[in-house]
Amino acid sequence: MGRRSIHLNPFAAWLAAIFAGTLSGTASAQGLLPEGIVAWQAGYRSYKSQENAFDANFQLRPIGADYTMRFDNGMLLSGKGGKDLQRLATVLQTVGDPSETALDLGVLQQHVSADISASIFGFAYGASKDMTVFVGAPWTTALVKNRIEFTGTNNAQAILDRLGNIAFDELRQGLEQASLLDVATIRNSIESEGYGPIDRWQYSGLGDLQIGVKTAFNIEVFDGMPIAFEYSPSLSLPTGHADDPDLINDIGLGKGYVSIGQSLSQRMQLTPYFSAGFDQMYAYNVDARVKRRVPEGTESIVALDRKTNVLHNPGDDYEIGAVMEFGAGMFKGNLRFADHRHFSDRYTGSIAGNYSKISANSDTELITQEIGFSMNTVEAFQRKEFVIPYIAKITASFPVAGLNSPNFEYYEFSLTSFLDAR
Amino acid sequence: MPIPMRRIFNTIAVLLTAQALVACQWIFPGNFIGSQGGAQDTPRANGDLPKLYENGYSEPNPSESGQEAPLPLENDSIRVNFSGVDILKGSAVRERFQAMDYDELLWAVADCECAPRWSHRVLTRTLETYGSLPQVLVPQVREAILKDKRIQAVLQLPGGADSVISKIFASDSQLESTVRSNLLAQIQNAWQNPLKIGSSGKLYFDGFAPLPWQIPARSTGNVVRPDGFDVGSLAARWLLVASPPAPWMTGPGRSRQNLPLEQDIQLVSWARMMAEINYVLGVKRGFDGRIYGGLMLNPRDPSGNLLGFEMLPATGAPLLGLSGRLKIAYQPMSSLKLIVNGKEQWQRQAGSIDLSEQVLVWRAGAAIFKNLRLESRKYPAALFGSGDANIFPADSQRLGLAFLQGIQVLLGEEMVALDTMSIGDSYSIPEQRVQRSETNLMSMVRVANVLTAWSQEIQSIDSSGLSESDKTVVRDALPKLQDALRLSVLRSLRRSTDWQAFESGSAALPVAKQAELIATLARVEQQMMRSGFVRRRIAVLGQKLIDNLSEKLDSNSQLDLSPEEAIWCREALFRLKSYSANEAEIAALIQTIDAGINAWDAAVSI
Repeated sequence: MGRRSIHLNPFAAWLAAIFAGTLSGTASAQGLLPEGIVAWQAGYRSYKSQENAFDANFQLRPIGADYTMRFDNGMLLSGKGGKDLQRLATVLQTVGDPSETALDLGVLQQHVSADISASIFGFAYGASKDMTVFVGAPWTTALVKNRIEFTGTNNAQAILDRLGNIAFDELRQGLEQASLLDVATIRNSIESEGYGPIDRWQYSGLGDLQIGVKTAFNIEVFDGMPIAFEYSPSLSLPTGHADDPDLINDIGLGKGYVSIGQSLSQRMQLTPYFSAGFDQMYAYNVDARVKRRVPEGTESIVALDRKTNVLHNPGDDYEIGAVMEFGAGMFKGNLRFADHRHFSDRYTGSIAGNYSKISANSDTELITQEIGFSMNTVEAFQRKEFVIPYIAKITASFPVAGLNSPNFEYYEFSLTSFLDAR
Repeated sequence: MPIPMRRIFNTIAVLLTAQALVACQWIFPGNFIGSQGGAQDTPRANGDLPKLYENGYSEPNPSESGQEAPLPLENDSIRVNFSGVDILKGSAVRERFQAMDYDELLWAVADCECAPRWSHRVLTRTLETYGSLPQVLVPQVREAILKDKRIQAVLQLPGGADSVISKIFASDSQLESTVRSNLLAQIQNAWQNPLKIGSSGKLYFDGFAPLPWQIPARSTGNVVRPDGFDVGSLAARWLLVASPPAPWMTGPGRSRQNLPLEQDIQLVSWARMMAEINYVLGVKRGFDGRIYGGLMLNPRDPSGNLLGFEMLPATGAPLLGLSGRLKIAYQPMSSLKLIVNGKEQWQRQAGSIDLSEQVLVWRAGAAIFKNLRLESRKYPAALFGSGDANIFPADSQRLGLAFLQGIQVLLGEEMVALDTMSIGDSYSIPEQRVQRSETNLMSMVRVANVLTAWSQEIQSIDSSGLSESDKTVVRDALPKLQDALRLSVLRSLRRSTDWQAFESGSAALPVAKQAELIATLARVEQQMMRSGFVRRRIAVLGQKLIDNLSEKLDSNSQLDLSPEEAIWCREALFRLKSYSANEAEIAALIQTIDAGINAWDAAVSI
């Protein structure tokens, strides 16, 4: 059974995007808050129940498929079934005959579903006419359910019967135990290694905190058609739940390390009703010392005594997007395509082991399309045609393709309003 | 200096009675394990070996190597044409079978007990052969001679063992002759039946005699003693002695018609072998309190010193094994002086302990134990006991157990390692580490043979006559031995390269080895460990063997097999009968081979 860590990690970009989207629709021409203005924002994002994920071949597969384990000879020899079964398979390979003593203990299937949602709370403040500072914190909830079933034919007893009295004690005991392999045995085996319950994991708590600043400026590239640039450095702090080495089915709702990001966007108003632009984000992720269980080989269940402090050298992130906006008056719609990428992580530590297995599949990519609709009363409020300045926005995001990534389809509603602190 | 009157009388007495020298309580019982105290006359493993001299014999001539020796048992090497024994003679045999490994044939014969004449001849020739340990240094002989009052009187003469009188009345040949006749008398008394062997001048009671075909040439007219012995060859000979039922199992007067001296030769061979084992183990304490011998090696002792059981440290279990090529040296002197002053020095040639050699030792140990069990001692009771009239100790079966200890040590270390699922080819004593690799297929098979023999003995340990504490120790060893047995069988079957060679009919595994593998593993399966898995594989291998043999049948239905091949094929076919539907074909082959073996054995001259 492999570790599961759904790379949720949406909040850093989410905060920036919400404010970017929000502020770009405010009275400030450059997308900044006017000096002394405070913006507050609340939002809710609901992810579609996660049952599928993109694999290393950009194919969408059930999450459980990655953890379907055929307990056959090759798998057992590789050690993925644990040391005891590896020893048993090795012994049989050493003294048996593949035609009669190759183990096939059955297939372990897992049916995993993950329900994730997040609430966002953020504040922004126009520190000057050229700079807005912001801070945001998500509150995350997750519920992972894992239904395990064991199917197929277990041939351990048949092998033992074939060997008869020639099976020496260790082999006999190993085959007898292997013949009893079932869900409960596997669950007990996993939990005996100090792992938490594997059937269900539930979490509710703070996500990664993000703080940042934003500045904006216009450059007139074409006559009468300025391009609006926004630049926003930010800092993400690892306050959310990161991968727990003692849990099999938890989700990394936070990064687990400090991330220093900067984003740049360009917008051009092509017609009074249509604008288009691009945005880019790059985040440098800082090394962190974390606890991990370091496998000796390719085993999926790693012994508790293999848990140790390791140096996590995370790969960096980037995101590029293209956006089109259209609409008039208080109502606007937008369409955005984006590519989110996280490069491979690396782990090192003082004990010998297979560190590359910890970072397997950490190279992720997700290409998404988003469609949004917003109602913005700020200008109407300024014209005293509306009593409350607010921006309400609904967004739907659909994955197009992915690499080692969850199938993040989500729906989001956010409400932003303003206070005059001058 | 005046000679005391007492000495004169003693001298006269010696002159009168020296010819009637009474020797030798030879293989006498004693408290051979566990006695305490006393000086030790043990071999020295280290130090420069003095030049080898023998009692009046010339130095060995290096050019007279064993390879140039005549083959003393020409019939042994004749390939058997099974429609009639086609006996080749002389140089033809020598040319064709010079490289023949007699230990292999001996192993096969010991297993089948199907060649009584051949066995009888080898045992006889062995008794006619000088051993590495001179007769007068055999502890029992030495003790008996020294205890004799008349010899003591000679030794008190001026010059002692060097005196003129001793040279006249206790010459080497007289001592030898007297020892022989008295030892035979001793055995005869214990056997309670006349020995027809007589006081043959050809019989020697020297310890550690080499096999007959290893005797150096006598082309120069000088007799040359070997300067040592190989444990493997010694164990092979022990195995041949101990494989058939001992005389005390069948009772006096049971010599086969065509082997009139069979029981006599067996008895004397047993007596000689027991003396050798006593010496090897270093458990025989002489009347003077000294311990003679002790040629065992402690596998965990980096010094490689040889020692006996009584020299072990007080703490810890015995860890001894017998291994390697052991060389003896002693100063040139007369037999009498050698008895009095001689201190033999033994040295083991450095090297690892090889599994192929240990297999012989362990297998011989099991056969010895089997024959010495209490329930095996049916006739006559006087052979065993603690009195002077008995020639074997009452608890002599413990001698066999000494080799079981060696098995346990070596099984638990590198040779048969359950943790790595491997059977190593050797065991390296500390600081003599050598590259160790998995042993060859046949050594694995022979490990299975040995462990089967020992497991069977242990399973019936209740009737062995051992003490309860000994039984407990032995029973505790059984699970480990049986696990090692299972590993050896499974690993033998799994050895892919040999297996493929075997299945493809390649010459990589000769017919004799194919048959031995089948015979041994099938015996394990049928007698010890029922297993369909093993059965199916043996059936496949067996069919290959049957096919090979069928192809060898010529137009006259004759098979061209060596004795070793024939013996193992017979045993394999016998075992295969219960695995094969083609019983008629197998029975016909067995009949043909049986006839060939009988003809070959009948052709052996005695």
